[in-house]
Amino acid sequence: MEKGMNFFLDRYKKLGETVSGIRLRPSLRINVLNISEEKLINRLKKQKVKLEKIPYAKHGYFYSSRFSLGSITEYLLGYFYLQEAAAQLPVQVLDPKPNEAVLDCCAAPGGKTTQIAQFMKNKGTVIALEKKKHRIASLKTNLERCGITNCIAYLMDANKVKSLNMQFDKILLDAPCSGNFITDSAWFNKRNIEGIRRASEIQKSLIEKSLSVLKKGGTLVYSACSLEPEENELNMQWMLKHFKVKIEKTSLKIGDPGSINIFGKKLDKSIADCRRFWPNKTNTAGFFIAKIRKL
Amino acid sequence: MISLIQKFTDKKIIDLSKMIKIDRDFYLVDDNLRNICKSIKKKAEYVGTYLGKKEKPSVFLLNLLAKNSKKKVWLNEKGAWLFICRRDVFAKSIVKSEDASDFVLIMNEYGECLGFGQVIDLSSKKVEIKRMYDVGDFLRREK
Repeated sequence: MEKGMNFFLDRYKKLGETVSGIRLRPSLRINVLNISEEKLINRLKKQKVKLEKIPYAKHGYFYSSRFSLGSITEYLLGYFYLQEAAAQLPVQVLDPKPNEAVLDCCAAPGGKTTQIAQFMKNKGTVIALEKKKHRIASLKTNLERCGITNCIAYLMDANKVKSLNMQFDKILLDAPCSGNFITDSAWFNKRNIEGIRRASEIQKSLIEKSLSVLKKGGTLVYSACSLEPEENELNMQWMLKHFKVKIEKTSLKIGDPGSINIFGKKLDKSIADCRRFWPNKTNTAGFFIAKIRKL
Repeated sequence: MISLIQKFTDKKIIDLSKMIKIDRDFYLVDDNLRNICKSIKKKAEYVGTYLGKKEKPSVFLLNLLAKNSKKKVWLNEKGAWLFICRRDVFAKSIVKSEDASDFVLIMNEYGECLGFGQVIDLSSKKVEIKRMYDVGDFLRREK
């Protein structure tokens, strides 16, 4: 039966990794649009919040606190965003600049959208799309809270992005995915290979639509919080076969190279330039990030 | 929105020609975003700088009002915390005030505006300012 913990752990072994559970460290990203890093650190220290810089994440900190940081004044004023360490990296790889036109395909709840605007210093344009109506509220709340002024958000399926009649310098496709067992303790019981294949088809469609509105020479960052190769390396192999693109190095100093041998199937060598986050090695959620250039 | 601003200042702090309303939300939109919105011809859910709802100013607008109004009171740390938890302001929490006669902006020890209230009894030793709106609304709205 192609499901269950043993099935998935065996797959990971075949990919060369013996995974084990880890305790995810809570982390935040300072929103330097609203406050300087130094000022916020001092204020949180005054409240006995312990902070430790995440060495590979710009403005990212691990924290420990005896109370929830999600209700304090500094949070309400948008001075920081509670964001898992690996989830802070796709935007860092995308590296959006002020005055660019950037698309965030699957935006809610807005962690990466607000980070994109932060990188752009609130200049230029961010178009944020969210397909699900009930998730739009959290996106709006976080845009407001973080003081984002260069964004337009639409209730829209990214599969229909062509109807915007816009071309973008950069696109973030943080794709809907099957997730991973680190962030969902019931993951092994809920998932099976069929569901993962379905997720892969959705992701391929979103890759295709995203590339159709990306300018030539523009950058697409594809990310997924999944460890399953069907949603990661195999999607990249499919993309390289069907579109004029190349995969580039991410410059991240964390994560393993993307796997180029998936269950005996040899993939394009450039897929090794993607980053795969095995939780037991990175102490983060499972993650995959690819930086793609449209030719 | 205008009537809310006028509670605190007569100055024209908002360029009304750049203000738009989507459902019950007000936004300030620059020419770039306005042109994009026009070309896309689809209802935006959020655009530009959020100003808030009729009687619920955004953090951006609260800060703008605080810069342009003398109607302010400053609270101590405990009073400021209670205020963002929907509590009214007691006299003992007020460490400083300016022109506190009717509607007032509520400031914390860092000079950040946390919301606004209405002075209900200056002579009272108990409730001094009735809470009208505070930035904790963000959290309560999500629930």
